[in-house]
Amino acid sequence: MTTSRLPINREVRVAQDLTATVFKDLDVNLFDLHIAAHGAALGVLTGRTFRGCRLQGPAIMLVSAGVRFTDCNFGEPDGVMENLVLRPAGARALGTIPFRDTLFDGCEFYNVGFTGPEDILNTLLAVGKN
Amino acid sequence: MTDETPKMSAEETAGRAMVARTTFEKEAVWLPMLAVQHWNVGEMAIKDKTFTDCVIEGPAVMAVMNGTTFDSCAMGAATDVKTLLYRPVSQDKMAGVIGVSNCRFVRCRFVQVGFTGSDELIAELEAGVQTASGAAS
Repeated sequence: MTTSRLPINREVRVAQDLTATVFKDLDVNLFDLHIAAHGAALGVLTGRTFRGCRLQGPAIMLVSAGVRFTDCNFGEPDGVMENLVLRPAGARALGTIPFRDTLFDGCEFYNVGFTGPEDILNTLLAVGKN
Repeated sequence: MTDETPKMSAEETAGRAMVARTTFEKEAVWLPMLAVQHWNVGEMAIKDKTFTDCVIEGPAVMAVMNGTTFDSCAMGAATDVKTLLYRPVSQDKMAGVIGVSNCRFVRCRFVQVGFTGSDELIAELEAGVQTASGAAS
């Protein structure tokens, strides 16, 4: 039997090394993370692990291949996952923070929305409906 | 004897000063930070400001709300304007976006910024958007 890390009740602990690949029990601003990795350029955050972290926006996360969420609280959608999801109108998604091959385990998201390919969005929209 | 009045940090003072401003001219504006500065004082949207000849930087997705206009702006480095646009699944709430209402953007250049809003707004942007490679009027 596994134990949930949620809710995260620890005190605020802001991540200092935003270039790390593993973040454990830390608070991370997603836009700071993107800037640390890519500056003003476009880029994908790849190969990261977040455990027991609070991840803060404002940000729209582009969820792409290899991104997994286990035991996560996606935010306060008032019980409606639809409030957290945006559909891209085009084939690409500018203005987002793209992630690939990343694990979010026991994390909480604050002021974060999600976008990505239709199959991934449908999976997200099904959260809480099963 | 009276209690000492709590002092604001320099960062908080600077943030409040940014929120109080109504005009921005010929400067770079980091949209996520401006949004957080507004949230820190309890304002959930950026309101009633004019940005002229500014570079508006993300990464961010802007929820374009009532009264916001774009005059001769370069909306982003994209050949397909749809790449900049998002349709909310819900029309009630949108998490992760930066609400902007009653703001005027004049000759601004947007970098890594996407846009969302009502179906009408998205259709309007699709029709009128000018990307950096080819500005919304």
